[in-house]
Amino acid sequence: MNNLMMGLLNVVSPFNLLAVAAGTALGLFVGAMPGLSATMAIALLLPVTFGMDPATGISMLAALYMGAMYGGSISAILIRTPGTPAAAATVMDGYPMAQQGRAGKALGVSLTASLIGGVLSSIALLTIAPLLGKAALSFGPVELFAIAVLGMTIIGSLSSGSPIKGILSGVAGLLIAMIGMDPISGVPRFTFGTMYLFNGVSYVVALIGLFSIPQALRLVEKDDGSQKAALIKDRMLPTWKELKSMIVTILRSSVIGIFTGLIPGTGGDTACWFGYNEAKRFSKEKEKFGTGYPEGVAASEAANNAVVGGALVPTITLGIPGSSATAILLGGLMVHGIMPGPTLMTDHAQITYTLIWAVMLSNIFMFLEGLVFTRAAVSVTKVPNKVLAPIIVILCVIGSFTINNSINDVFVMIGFGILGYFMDKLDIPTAPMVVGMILGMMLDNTMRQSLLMSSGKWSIFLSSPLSTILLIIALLSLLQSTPIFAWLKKALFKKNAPQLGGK
Amino acid sequence: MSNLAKHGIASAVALIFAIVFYVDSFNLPKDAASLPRILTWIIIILSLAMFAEAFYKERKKAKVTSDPALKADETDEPQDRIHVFRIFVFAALIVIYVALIEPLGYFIVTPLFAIGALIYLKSTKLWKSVLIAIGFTVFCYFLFVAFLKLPIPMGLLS
Repeated sequence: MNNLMMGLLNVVSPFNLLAVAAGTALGLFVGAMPGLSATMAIALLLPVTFGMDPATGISMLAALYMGAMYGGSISAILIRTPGTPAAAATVMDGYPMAQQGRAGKALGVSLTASLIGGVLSSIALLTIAPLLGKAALSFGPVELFAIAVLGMTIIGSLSSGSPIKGILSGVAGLLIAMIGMDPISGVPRFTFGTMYLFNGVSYVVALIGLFSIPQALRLVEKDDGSQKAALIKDRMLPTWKELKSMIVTILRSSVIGIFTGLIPGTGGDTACWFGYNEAKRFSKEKEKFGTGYPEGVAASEAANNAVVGGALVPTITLGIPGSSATAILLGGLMVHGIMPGPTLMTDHAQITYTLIWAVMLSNIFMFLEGLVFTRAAVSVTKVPNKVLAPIIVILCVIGSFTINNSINDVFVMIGFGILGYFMDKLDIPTAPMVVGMILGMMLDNTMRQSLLMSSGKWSIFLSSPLSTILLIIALLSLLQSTPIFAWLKKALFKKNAPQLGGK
Repeated sequence: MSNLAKHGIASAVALIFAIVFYVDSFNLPKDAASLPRILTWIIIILSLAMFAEAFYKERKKAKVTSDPALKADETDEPQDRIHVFRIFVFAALIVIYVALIEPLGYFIVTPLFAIGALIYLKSTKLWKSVLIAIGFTVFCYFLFVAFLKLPIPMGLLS
């Protein structure tokens, strides 16, 4: 309880309040730009937080994440282009509403749903994180190994596209994490005689490259089409009656968002569709979805904001990022010399609880700033892609340089950026690679510590009930993406088919 | 380039990456080499699986497109052309920009890169490009040097 109060007191200090307000506003504007995603915005803002106190810096990044989740809906509604992938489902009903002259109402519904989703997810974060954090403290290397394995398999197999590619990307990330001085034996691994690689490849440098440079290159691939933004003429906030009619959908989407966030590797882009589809499935007026139905906007927007709190739970309690944006938050912590993992809740309680309260507070800022700034944010949706691309590059360069003040890091960042561009062309997801780079050391250390404890017997990983369950779930998540599972499903379906037909 | 060829190259790159690490792991003590070796084997298997998957999909697609009715439908779809040469030049500009930062200084090369890139990409009018480039560099200076006091390479300006 003490830590909880300390975090609250910390976050209401004037400078922290300013940082959270500024982060949210920046997120709102950046989210509204179709070329920039929340993940990328956090990666680009990272160097700005280096000079700050860690708690302030991380709070600002989390506030930006929250702000960007709403900001994405502005361009989704007004110009039919989601500002961030997490607002993709908002286009479905948001744009038709704008076409019907109800752009203001669509934005207001989005803002209100975002607020409710965000607040609920903050409450979930505030309650689940300390409990899970406490439980995580009792975990030994065996359990932590199982958690890392589960994190990797889920991220690999759930990421968009082929699971083979997702897992390949993740394992490649794990192998890259092996580069550098081995902390247990002290020998340099895979440095190929270069001094630079002794400290390993900084994953913050890699993720700035992987998440930002491919996007900058994609922005110049094609010529801009001219887009006309719809005008906001009507009042924004929904009436009490309208809100009441959507509240069930908003609550359902919030729960969906929180759970989607909790699962490592799945973020707002998955949650918005999940929330939208479920709202449609449960609705009595299914045919209205896609025609400018406010509930459609509310469903997707509540879900994507609810992801934020959910995704932060595994991030701060276990050191496993719940989404690619939270992977960068972890990077931010590491730059400040704080190692993510179960000790984060105890050794760095001040930072963690400030962050949790900052997420809660950013919802309120998002709502107020949304009411004031949404009309102004329309102008940034018109920034041409070809102007944005060089600016992204400049920010990536300065960001990757300032981490270790090394120009070699900038070259590594560009290298990863070009790799990321090609991976994107082949539909190989880049997020698992980053997560692999984060979890690599944890996996290696816990595996070897466990094997030392059991004098080399692998059966130790099945000695604890928790690790056994986690490893079984990991195996299942792998199997469900293989043809074996599809065959099983087919076989079962065939068996049931005659019965279904007979009814 | 066909989809299969692209995947072939990607698989080959992943294989080479894994094999190089596998061979290098023999220089390490057994304990330190254990996980990397497991990982290299997984990469070898998955990169082959990725190629097999692409091959399987290609064959399936070939079967579908051999149906004349479906083929006509597919070719009708308008496709936005990707400017490959433009991306290549832009990427080259980025590499040159990074290479010149240390000798010349961040605040000299950055506006040059921005102006060069904006003009090459025909992003906006010339005067606007110059204004954006200089304005953004000044913004970076105040944010990173004056406010955050980060050590940015000054090169000739130091």
